Amino acid sequence: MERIVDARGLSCPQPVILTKKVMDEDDGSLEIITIVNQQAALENVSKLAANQGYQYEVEEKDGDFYIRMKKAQGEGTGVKEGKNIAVLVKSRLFGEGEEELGGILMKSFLYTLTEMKGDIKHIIFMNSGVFLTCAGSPVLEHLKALAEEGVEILSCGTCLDFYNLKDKLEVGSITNMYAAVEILTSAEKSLTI
Amino acid sequence: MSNLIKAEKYALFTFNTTSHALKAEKVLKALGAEFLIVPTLREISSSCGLSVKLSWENIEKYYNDLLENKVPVEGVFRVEKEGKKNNITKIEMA
Amino acid sequence: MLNKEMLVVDVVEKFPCTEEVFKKYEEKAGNCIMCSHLFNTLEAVSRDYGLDLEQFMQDLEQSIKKGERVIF
Repeated sequence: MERIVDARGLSCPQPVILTKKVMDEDDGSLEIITIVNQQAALENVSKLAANQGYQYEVEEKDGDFYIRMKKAQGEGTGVKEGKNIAVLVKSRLFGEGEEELGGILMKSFLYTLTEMKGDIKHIIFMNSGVFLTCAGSPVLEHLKALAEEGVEILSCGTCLDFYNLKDKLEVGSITNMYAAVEILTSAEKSLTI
Repeated sequence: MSNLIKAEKYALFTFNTTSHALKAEKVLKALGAEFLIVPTLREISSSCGLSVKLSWENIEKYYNDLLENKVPVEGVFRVEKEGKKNNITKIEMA
Repeated sequence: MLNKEMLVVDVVEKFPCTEEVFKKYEEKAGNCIMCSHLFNTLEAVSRDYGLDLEQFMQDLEQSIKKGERVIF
């Protein structure tokens, strides 16, 4: 299938951002063609392609550059290792029930994740789950260890705002519902806690 | 404490019941101990799915502290991780 | 939420509202940062253009905090 990104006349970084959006949807079957008409844009889209493990060819036609990109097969540079699992944590406690037990189960759960090297790509914290990524959290060390292993730790910005925790975030970055849903639906497997 | 998370040589305390594990957490916390609540390793048969992971040097002190606070420790194990395998030795406390 | 090792492209992609901050800095830098340094880290950008990294990051974070309220 072919997807055309017409980025003629757009200034940096738009051609790259638009191309990246299509790449994020690509399961390897797409041929992406980005059209630009500026040298800087051509260079940056080419860099993006190389960066993301795409093979690309450039064709010039009437002053426009057509960059044809196809995901490299097999052991490409941009191919991620591991299973790509996303975890959604929607409460500061694990499951419903006694607070004491919920807290201790959460510790035990997150500790177990630290041992699953490479498979977990994202952990998203929503609602009271955001207490876990903020100052005073009993599992800050767990999450920092996960972040060091390359797991992306994301907290819901609306939730941080609601609980007045925006300045207390200690690990990871802030996300919104769009990004969170995209991650959860594009992951090979997602778990909700 | 992040060192303890990644530690591949450590000690584990197991418990008879979950309430003992919960109580152990409280006692150790009050003592300012460095420890982690972790799931009991699959290789260890224990009546409780939660264990306490701590560094090897401290086990005697904390074992006794727990006993004094009426938290019986079911088993004490020395764990050494080798790749994906855990080498586990049960330790008898005096 | 940002660190100096992040690439410009990742920052702009995740937080589109930071584009304005980069544009503002382009005036200072006299060059299109998002053209020439899109795949460089924030640290490299500030080094290459002699920017105050701390201030730069602060401005970016500020715009993210402001921008988020609009996004959701």
